[in-house]
Amino acid sequence: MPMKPRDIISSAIFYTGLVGATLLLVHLGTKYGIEKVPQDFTRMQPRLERGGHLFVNKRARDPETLDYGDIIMYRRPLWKRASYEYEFARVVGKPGDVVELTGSKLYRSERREGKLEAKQPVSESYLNPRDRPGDFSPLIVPRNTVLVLFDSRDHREPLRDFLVPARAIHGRVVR
Amino acid sequence: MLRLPFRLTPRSAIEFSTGALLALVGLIFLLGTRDEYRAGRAFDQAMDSYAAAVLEDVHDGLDDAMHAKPSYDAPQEAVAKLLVDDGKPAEAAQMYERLRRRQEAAGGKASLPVLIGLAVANLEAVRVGQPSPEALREALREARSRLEAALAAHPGAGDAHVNLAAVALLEDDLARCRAELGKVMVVGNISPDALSILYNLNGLAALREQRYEAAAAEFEKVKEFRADWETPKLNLAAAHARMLIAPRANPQVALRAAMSLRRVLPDIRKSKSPLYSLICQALGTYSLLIHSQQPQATEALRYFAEAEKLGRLPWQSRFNQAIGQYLDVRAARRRNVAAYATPAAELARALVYPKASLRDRVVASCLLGTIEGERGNRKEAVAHFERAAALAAEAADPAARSAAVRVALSLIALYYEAGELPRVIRLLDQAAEIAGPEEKKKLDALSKQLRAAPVISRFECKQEKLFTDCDLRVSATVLTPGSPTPLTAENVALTLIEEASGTSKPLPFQLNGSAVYAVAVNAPQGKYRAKLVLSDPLGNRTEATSEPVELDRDPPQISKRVPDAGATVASFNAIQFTVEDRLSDVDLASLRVMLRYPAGSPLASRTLVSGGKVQYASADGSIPRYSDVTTNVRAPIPNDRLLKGEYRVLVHAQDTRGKGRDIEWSFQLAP
Repeated sequence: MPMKPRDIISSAIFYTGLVGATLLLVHLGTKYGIEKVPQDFTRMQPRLERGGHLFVNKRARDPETLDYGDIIMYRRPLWKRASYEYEFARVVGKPGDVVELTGSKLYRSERREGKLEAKQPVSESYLNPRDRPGDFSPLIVPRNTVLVLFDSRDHREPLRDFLVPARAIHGRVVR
Repeated sequence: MLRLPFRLTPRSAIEFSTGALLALVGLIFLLGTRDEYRAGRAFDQAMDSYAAAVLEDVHDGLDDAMHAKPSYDAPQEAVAKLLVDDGKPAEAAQMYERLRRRQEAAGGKASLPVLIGLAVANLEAVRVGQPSPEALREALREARSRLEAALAAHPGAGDAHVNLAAVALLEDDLARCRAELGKVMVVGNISPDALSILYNLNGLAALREQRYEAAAAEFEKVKEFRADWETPKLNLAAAHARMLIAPRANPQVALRAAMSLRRVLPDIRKSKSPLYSLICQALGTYSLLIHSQQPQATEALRYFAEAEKLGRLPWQSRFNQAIGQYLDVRAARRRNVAAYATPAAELARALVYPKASLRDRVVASCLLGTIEGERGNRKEAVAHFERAAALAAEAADPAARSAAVRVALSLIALYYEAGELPRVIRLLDQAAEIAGPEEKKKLDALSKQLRAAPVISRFECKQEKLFTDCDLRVSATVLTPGSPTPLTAENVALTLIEEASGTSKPLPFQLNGSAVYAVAVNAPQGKYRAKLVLSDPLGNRTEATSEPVELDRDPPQISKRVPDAGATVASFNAIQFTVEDRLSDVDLASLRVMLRYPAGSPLASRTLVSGGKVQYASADGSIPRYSDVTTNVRAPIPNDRLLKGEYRVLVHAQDTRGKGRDIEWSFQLAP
């Protein structure tokens, strides 16, 4: 039976709406949801193996909502020349904290409700004990920024590479 | 075609209309936020480019952001900040002022970046004009009040504290600067841009507090945040330069600082920073004196010459340059004493320069003393060193104590050469009181040498046939280790002592180097000893006495003769006498006694003693025949008929050394 014009219009509206809704969901999912991303970055071994895939919670971008020890995915700083676009590193300092690395040991004074707590050593079971990172003296973490460090600390990079502004954070690694 | 259970009915038409209306509202909402999204995205990209120091992209991004949303303040604040960085603070101040008015008109209060930017831009606008000190102070006061107002409007803003610390540092208020930097750590709220300024200020404050290592660490940290920023590099170089010339700097740290400075020196030269001269002076000074094991005068002079190209050196560097020139002359293979004139003139100025430290004066006096010593002007050299000693005694620091010991050693050398040994001893004692362990070892060694007693060796007195049989030869080897001058006859006294009589008399001697030689020609009989007394100018004295030498010139003597010579006796039955030798024993085995009878006697003579044995027994039997004689000789005569007349006794006696004599005497028998 031939379709009536009314049916044609209604079907077109339905399919258009369905496709639009699907595209919107995909867009929102990739922008704000969990995404599976390839990993070609190697400084987080063995926690993150090269060539694997990760699920990243892209809603977790606010430095204040991240937790110590979280691994985040962030946009590689422009001044670093590398083949990869994203880097992964572990959060060791949140805005206002004072962090220092002395004798390969990480110390952190956390800021809670605006007050700086006493300096405490940070337990880092994920480190390779053979690594000898270059120390740095107490560093205050600026606002809207997190201080990150790679699990592999066999060589030292400038401190500015480890201060990740909120705008560069893509999300927290879920798995 | 796939048919779906959807038909346009009055109900679905209402639902569709509602959906379309909502979609329209959504579309309007999306379109309404599109510009904001674009502006935010462009601004983020601009900030990323700013962090990466890609300034062209920064301007492009900010332009895009402002174009997308003209009312968006953040890009305009960033543009104003870039204007300050570009050296256009006046324009920046106008821009900030416009933003402040707009924000206050819109929301009541201006944003923190605008308030801080306004204070900074206004201050910089005054500073670029090279204002008078009063104008600068006024500008700083205004900046401080603006920043305090910003802090009041936005409590807990770390950026405001950072800028207040910077203002305090410009006002030379180090305590306030430190207080503000401390508040930054307390509030913790700081922007990433202010982080590098915070650590740069920390470094500058440490630099003013003369904590150069801490300052260098802070500047190194700043470099990690802002690789493109020249200021921390220059500040780091300044910290390293001061580290080099700081007293009591750690040698390893200073060495690292020197290496770092040598590495960055070409870049600083290209930048035409006034710091270049300071670094050259510091490297020159370091090459010379401070921690180099071996001063490298040539390198030091090269650095000083480089600094001199940029203008007249300050006094301290001219002084150090003079030290370099002095060392350069000293190091030359063919030392040209005339070349000391230039450094000597500058060093002499240090003695009267009011800003010269005590240490500088000590060094200048020491070097001038050495120069005068090399020129052969001993008197002037001593005067310089004595001044150095007096100055070093005034100083309280350990370096001056060490210098005092060195000065004392120099003076000791000068006095020693001049033979002024009491002064040498006094100085040695004084220096030993203040010397460290190593210096004490040197002083002890010198003192030991100076106080060492003169040495007499191979001292002997022997009888020797030189001119006569009875000559005495005296010889010795003498040494005065503590004496700076060669041994003279005044240092030696030689006497010959005759033991038996106890008399002594000086013995003339010859001194040939360290050999003493004397001869006593044809000395009388006696038992002699030679005594040698050796003294040096320091008063050290040694004496030695030789082994005794017996000079036996006489054969045995005969005494107590019975019958005596010329006597007239009525009878006799033995010849008696005593034979003795003063120094040796009588060789009794060689004693021979003969009695010659008067003319007309049946026998001409009788041998009474031969080979030390009596030949006849005595009449009373007390002396058996062939018994040994003693020194009290009693030689019985045989039972012969003794006629009246003259009897003669012939005695041959000799001592154990072989000296003999024949003695003869006569007596009359008249019964």
